[in-house]
Amino acid sequence: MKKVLWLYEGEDNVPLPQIQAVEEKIGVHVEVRSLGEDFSSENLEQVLILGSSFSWHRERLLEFALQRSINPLQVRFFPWQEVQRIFPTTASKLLEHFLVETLKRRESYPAQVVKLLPERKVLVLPRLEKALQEVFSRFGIPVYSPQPPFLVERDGVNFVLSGESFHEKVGSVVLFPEWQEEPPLRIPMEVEETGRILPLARFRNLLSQKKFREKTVVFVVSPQSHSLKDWEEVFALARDLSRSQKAKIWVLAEEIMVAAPQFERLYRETRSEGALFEKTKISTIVLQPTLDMQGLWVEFETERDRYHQRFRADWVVYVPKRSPLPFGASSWWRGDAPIEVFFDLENPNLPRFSTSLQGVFIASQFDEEYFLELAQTVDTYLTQGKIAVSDCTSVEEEKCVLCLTCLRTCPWKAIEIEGKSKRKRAHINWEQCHLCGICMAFCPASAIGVNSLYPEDFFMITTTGSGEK
Amino acid sequence: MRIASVGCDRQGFPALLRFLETFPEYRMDVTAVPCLGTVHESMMLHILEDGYQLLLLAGCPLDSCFNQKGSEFAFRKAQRVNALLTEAGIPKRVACAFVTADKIGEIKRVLESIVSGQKGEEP
Repeated sequence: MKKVLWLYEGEDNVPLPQIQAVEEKIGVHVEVRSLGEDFSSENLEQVLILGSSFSWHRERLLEFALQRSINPLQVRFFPWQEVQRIFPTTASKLLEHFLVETLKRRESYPAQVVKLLPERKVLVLPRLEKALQEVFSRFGIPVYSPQPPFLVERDGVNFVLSGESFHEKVGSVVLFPEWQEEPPLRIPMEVEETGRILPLARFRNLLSQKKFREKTVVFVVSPQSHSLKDWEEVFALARDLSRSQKAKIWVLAEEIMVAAPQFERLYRETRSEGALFEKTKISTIVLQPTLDMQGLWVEFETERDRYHQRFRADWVVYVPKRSPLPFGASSWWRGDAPIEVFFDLENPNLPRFSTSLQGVFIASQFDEEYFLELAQTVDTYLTQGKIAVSDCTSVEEEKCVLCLTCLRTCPWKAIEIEGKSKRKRAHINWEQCHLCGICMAFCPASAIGVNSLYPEDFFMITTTGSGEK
Repeated sequence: MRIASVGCDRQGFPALLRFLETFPEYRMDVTAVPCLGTVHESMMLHILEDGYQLLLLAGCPLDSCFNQKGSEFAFRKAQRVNALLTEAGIPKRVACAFVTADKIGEIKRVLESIVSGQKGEEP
């Protein structure tokens, strides 16, 4: 008889009667244990976890499996405590459904969870500060910063540097790009002459000098501003100006950033003070000076309903577009997949300094505390490494038509094209793969398969009641 | 009205569970996927064919999707499905909510707007 381990987290709230019913139905032996116990030596068919927390996402499951040397594809999670609370009447039925659906499949997965440790060396570009080198040496991490030209290529989790006289493997890259600031929209000369349009930094100085009582102030936030600080400042300024000076505030942006902690609250406060937020395409905003040259006409179309807006603004404040100055980085990524953008927006879902390439960190400040924090983050990455599932993906050679859709859609740049000129095909580098399954969904020839990511694997919680209210 | 919802592993699914906990008057079927970009058009149409009147996709906020573009992909696909349905004379039935576990009000707003829209379109 096959053995299934049932682990529970939190309180002793194990649905024993349901488990017994399923045992008889499917013919498996289910053993109930606490999450803290050791069970690594046992031969298991499936591990199920009964959780009480919302945060058992894929990465946490992989980590859990790795610590206990279990195949992660055998581990499944069911939020029992939550389901019990949300659907009290149907909870046991849902659990039974989940158990039957999970246990009736008897596939064995060849995949194994692997911990990948990058080389303990760091490449710093474009130039290395002495203070940073000292901070890294405190953590025992050697730092490189060779003179260009050289080539950087990815090799699994590592980066291979090759120049004329050296060949080095580093585990991580730290970038200090120099930013170039420019207005996000075209400013005609006559608009500039009014002196009523200015960047956020200059507007800050103006606050103490001018009065904004019942004036109209428009904030234009560039989609490439890439900074949570800018957003925080815009929210705070908009709130304070409309609260204390009764100014009319408009905030025009392509996407309003509310994902960071506290931003939702700030956004709500600003809205409740009377500030207007409007989504629009920044490049289509038209500015014209008024006749008395004391203000500007602002014209745009809202994204919501394509309504044409035109109003007079006393001040237009823009958050500048920040683009990195090239330092030869764009030319080093060779191969079939050019990595065009790695200066991503600050993503609250990712660790600090992280970019869309794992192992590449981006930094902007030059003070010791900041360096220390950066070095800690890099050190954590280099010591903890990366958890990956080996051979979890497969590309059917016969089906692959080399349309390069996967190459374009993979957010982690894990897809490479391999083979000789006429027999090329996509290949998924499992060391970079995050198992998000986007390539699988996009592949028009359905040539990509990811173990444990087929639609029947997604478990479904079904409510029996109907009606939206 | 029968509502199906698909949430991403990272933000959408926890948010949906928390939403159902906070607003027990709403009833919907919830499915978890690793990333919202995984949901393709055929899957959406399949769900709608199963008899659901509304499909809600809940994912990370657009600018902070864990897989960078998953939510964006889902949004575009939902728009394509809605356009298809409109061509066939059916009101739009796929809605997207970009949420975090702390920001569940968005789900309610999206649900209410689409439900009121559908009611308005009925003769």
